[in-house]
Amino acid sequence: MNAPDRYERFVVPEGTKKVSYERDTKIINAASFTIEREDHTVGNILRMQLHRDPNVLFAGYKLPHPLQYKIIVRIHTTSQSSPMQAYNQAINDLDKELDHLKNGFETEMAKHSREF
Amino acid sequence: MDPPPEQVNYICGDCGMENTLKPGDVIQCRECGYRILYKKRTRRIVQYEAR
Amino acid sequence: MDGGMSYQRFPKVKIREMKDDMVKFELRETDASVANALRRVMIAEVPTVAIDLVEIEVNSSVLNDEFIAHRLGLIPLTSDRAMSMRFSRDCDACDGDGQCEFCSVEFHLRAKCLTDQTLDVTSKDLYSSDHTVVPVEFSDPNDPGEQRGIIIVKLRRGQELRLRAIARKGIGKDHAKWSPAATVTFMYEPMIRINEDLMDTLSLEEKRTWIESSPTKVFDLDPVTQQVVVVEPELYTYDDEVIKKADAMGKSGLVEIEAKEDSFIFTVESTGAIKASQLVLNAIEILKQKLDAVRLSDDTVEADDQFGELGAHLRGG
Repeated sequence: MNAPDRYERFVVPEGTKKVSYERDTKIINAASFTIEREDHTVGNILRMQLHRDPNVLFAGYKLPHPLQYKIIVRIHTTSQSSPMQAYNQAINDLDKELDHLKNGFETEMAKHSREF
Repeated sequence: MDPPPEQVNYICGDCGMENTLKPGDVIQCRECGYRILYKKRTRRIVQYEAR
Repeated sequence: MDGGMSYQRFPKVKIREMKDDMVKFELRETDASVANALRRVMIAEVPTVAIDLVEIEVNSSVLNDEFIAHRLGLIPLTSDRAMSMRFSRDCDACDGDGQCEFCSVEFHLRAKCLTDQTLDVTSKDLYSSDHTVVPVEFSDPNDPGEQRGIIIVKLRRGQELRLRAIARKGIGKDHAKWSPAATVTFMYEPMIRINEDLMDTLSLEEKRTWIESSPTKVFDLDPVTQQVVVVEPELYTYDDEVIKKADAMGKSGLVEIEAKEDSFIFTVESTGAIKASQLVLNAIEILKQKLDAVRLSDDTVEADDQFGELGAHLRGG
């Protein structure tokens, strides 16, 4: 009766932005990014990638509620960088890593089928 | 002012014969006298979500 | 600016076994979060095609309409087209009912039992409007060469089933019928080191008892040298039975088992809708698409402080 529709988990409604962010008023170089209709799949992978950036002082994500389909990623950086930069950098690095993985897998597939 | 063109027929619970009944008829199978008659499945196509 | 620093990893893949419906491969030099994200995407976000709407004209079988509709939804359909298809909700070609040729595939099924023998209505009786999207053909491992199809319902003499079904693109997150994965597992690769000095203090009987204590056959006795060797490290399931047995025998530290933190062994089994190797590739592609969708663009507006979480917090909400 109160359960949200299944497609709510991944369909962003009209008018809502997929990503939005808020700077922290009290701490410099800190921001919270709200990503709509995503879950641990994206949250964890982003967070672990952000940890690799030496300019990132703090990176964490949470799901405020299991029935609200969004994640909040919080990033603090040094003054050498900004949370937005770190965020985009992390995504770019992940994209490159996945490209590398894809090529590696395709090469392996070709090698494996050639052996037959 | 809308004479229903189709006659509704019901299925007997016992012998399975189709009985055509009009409003006001006694509810009884014409063949075996069984008094429980079932309505046929609707002609409309019913849609279901395969979930 | 950042100056072009990249903190990317360079993962390595090695395929161990590859069949149509199963692939086993090693993934090295990447983080557990990437392995897990891949697993999650393979199960829940790789799109396939499955029956979503069923229109039943006649059903005099023993199963009711919605029961049969549910069973039809669960039949796996060959979904190589799925990645290039559009979701029904996004399709602008149809008049909004989501049944046009670009976003859906139509099936029909007509079965009537005329003989005294029970008629099995199977997935083979489903006729598709697109020959690339058909129910998956299974062969019984015990009985290869015979392909029977999934039984939908059985009919007696006089019973009839006539229906029309629409199959659409979807993802596992919406309903499990769209999940192309049967099972996807990954394990950490174990590093097993036997303390040879300590092992030498064991008698042959003790060595045998110790080897037997493992629920899976990880160790064995070399018939020639009478030494304990690691025969299949990957059968180790991280139960610590051998360690507990060694402690109980008074020989703590007999073996050291560690999980390599960045080395994973994936086993991907597919339902047949997509080839297992293609499933992995699709998963990587979908993960890239998800990350792309989440990028900050120039027009990502900074949320007004008033309406955000922080604003609510500052106001004591």
